[in-house]
Amino acid sequence: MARSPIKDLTEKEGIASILFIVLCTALALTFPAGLGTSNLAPSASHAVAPWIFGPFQILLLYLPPWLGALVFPLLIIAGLAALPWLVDYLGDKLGQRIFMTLIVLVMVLLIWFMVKEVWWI
Amino acid sequence: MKDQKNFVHHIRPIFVPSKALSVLYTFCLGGVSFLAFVVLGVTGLLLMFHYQPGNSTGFSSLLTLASVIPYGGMIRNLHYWAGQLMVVTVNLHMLRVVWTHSYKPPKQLNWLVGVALLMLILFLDFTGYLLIGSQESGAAATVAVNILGLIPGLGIGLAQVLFGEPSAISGSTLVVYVWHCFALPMIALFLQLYHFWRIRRDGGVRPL
Repeated sequence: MARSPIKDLTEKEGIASILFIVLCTALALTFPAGLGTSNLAPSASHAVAPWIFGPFQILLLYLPPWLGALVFPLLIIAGLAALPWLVDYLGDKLGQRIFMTLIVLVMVLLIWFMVKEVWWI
Repeated sequence: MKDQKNFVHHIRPIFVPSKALSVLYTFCLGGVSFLAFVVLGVTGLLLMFHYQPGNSTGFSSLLTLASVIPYGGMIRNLHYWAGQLMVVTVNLHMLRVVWTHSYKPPKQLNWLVGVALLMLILFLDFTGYLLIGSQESGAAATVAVNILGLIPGLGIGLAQVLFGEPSAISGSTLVVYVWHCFALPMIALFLQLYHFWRIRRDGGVRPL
């Protein structure tokens, strides 16, 4: 007799959920969330962005603000949003290649940020 | 797929392609991202009982939360890590969608909804970072306000709408608090429900 898709879906999503909760709890118990520097303390000379916005900080460091903070990120978002139409227009291989270039670019910026800045939480 | 147009049928689908039942097809990344959103909602609600937004109160209320309130530090740690993990799982989910070509017609609208959700989640993360009310948050708020100021005509008004008083020194303002705790989660929740519904509406996941 065929198994119900509900049972299969519930099982695999259930296992994934348990794994996620265990990982999240383990991280929360092991690495406390940072608070940064109090705004009553003497001013820090250098602020480091959280890792998620690391690529953004690198762009702002090396490019003029209008380019690094507005044009470049907007182009990345537009490229991401237009992916289905890009692939349709340029063909599977070229469209996917453009997407992978965007991903690699963001990853390079992230690694650059991690190497350049003292990063963590 | 006429039978699967109702939202209820996403929860209890009549047909699911057998390939889609394999863990290795989706890695459950969409579902896990939603679970992270739920964890963030629950822990965020608990944090709201003690957190007070403001230049002088934001940081100190977090210190109190971490050191005085029972399990306050643990709740905040869970909120923080669920947020970080959600960014990771959402990005991996997006990569999986590209890998399996699940963005192609008729699913291009759902892809756009997914991109909008990614932006919302990054902005939620950013506003959460501002609410810490530290010097670093203040610097981040200043950078964000200056960036928005570069947009001709709209920038300054947009900065006021998104961050409140631009002269705030800590980043923790009532405006940011309302965006982070109510407006953005509500928009994200609505878009997620629509995103889920469209998966079945567009024909579910396709085999490779």
